[in-house]
Amino acid sequence: MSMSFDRKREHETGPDDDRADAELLARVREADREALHALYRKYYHPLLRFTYRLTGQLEIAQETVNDVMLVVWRDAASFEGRSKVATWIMGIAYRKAMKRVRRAWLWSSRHVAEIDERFERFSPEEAPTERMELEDLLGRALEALPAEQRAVVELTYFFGCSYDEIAKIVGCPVNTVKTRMFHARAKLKALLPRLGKDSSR
Amino acid sequence: MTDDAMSHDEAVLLLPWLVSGTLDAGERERVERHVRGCVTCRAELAEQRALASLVRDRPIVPLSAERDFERLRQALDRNASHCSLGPRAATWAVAASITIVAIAALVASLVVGTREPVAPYRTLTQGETPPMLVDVVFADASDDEIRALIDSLGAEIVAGPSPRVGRYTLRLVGGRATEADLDGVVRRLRDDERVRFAARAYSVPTDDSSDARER
Repeated sequence: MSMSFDRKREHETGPDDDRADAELLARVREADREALHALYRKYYHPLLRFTYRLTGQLEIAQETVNDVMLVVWRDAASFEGRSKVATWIMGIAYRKAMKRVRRAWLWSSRHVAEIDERFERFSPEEAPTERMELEDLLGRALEALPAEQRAVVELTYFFGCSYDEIAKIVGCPVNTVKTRMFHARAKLKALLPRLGKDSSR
Repeated sequence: MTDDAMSHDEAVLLLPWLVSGTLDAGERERVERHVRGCVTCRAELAEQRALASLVRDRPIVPLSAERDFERLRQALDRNASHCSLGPRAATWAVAASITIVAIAALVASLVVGTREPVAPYRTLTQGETPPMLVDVVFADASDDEIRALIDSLGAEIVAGPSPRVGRYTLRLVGGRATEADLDGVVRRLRDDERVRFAARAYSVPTDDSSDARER
């Protein structure tokens, strides 16, 4: 299946996109900076979104995007075409972002504990019904998920990745992808019935 | 139940990818058939559709790709000023230069008889001797378990996991940690059945992971 990298334009990366990406990557291998610039323009916003969702800090996400593209520049020759270029780049982004997340554990565990506390106090009966407020609550609930689960939610629902692609990106078995998603759904369960009712707005 | 009927447990795991439209045709047909006869899954499917819609609509601050690319370009220029080779060759050249520095430092350390580690390691705690660092390798622990254990020790991760052995380097936080505290942390880690290896460390390894590995 294809991965969607620009929801606003509903642009889908299909076989032609992958071929174009592979051609750019071949030029990057030859130290062609224009090709790197073209890949950068294409992947900047998807990578920024993904790394921001994982790290929770925009500046860190910006730095992580450049870390990712530096690896692409440096290690283009190691790409063997066993996966799509997009999957390879997103895999680098996942590993780079997760390192940032893990190194900030002390910060994040305290931060997540605060969010958990707020989330536990949240009562569906008192919940606001406006979609923007629901988005805000959902955002906070997503922040409270472990980063590994958040990544699977984001890759499934924003990037439209199949579970096979996600397994390649995050480097784990397919069954682990399914169970991470299942646990994430269970944690979000308190909000979801109301979201289901309000989603038709 | 026919041979290709899908169990509830199997179907419920696949609902998110039914929503995202990424199941292959056969799997999609089997999940849909189950959902038609399962009230629980139909309710769950509605919830997942709502969740997908909200996740897709969550905005982030739009930033300029060009401005950030300029920062990357400058970083590449700085590397290029050290070496005019291509990216792959430049990496090897940098690695070679680090190795030369490391060998030189090792020779120097042997000459003066010091036990200080050598490049490519960096110390985070210059002026603090010794640094409050521990190397640890976990045997079989989930990320949540590792996180909880490290939090309970009053430590933070400053490097790792390393790509081959999964080594983390931890640092005790709080300015008043003593060597006795550090020894206590090492003992606690060694007593934990989820820990394969724990020992004091004297420096923080550089980031040598292979982030470009292809799955």
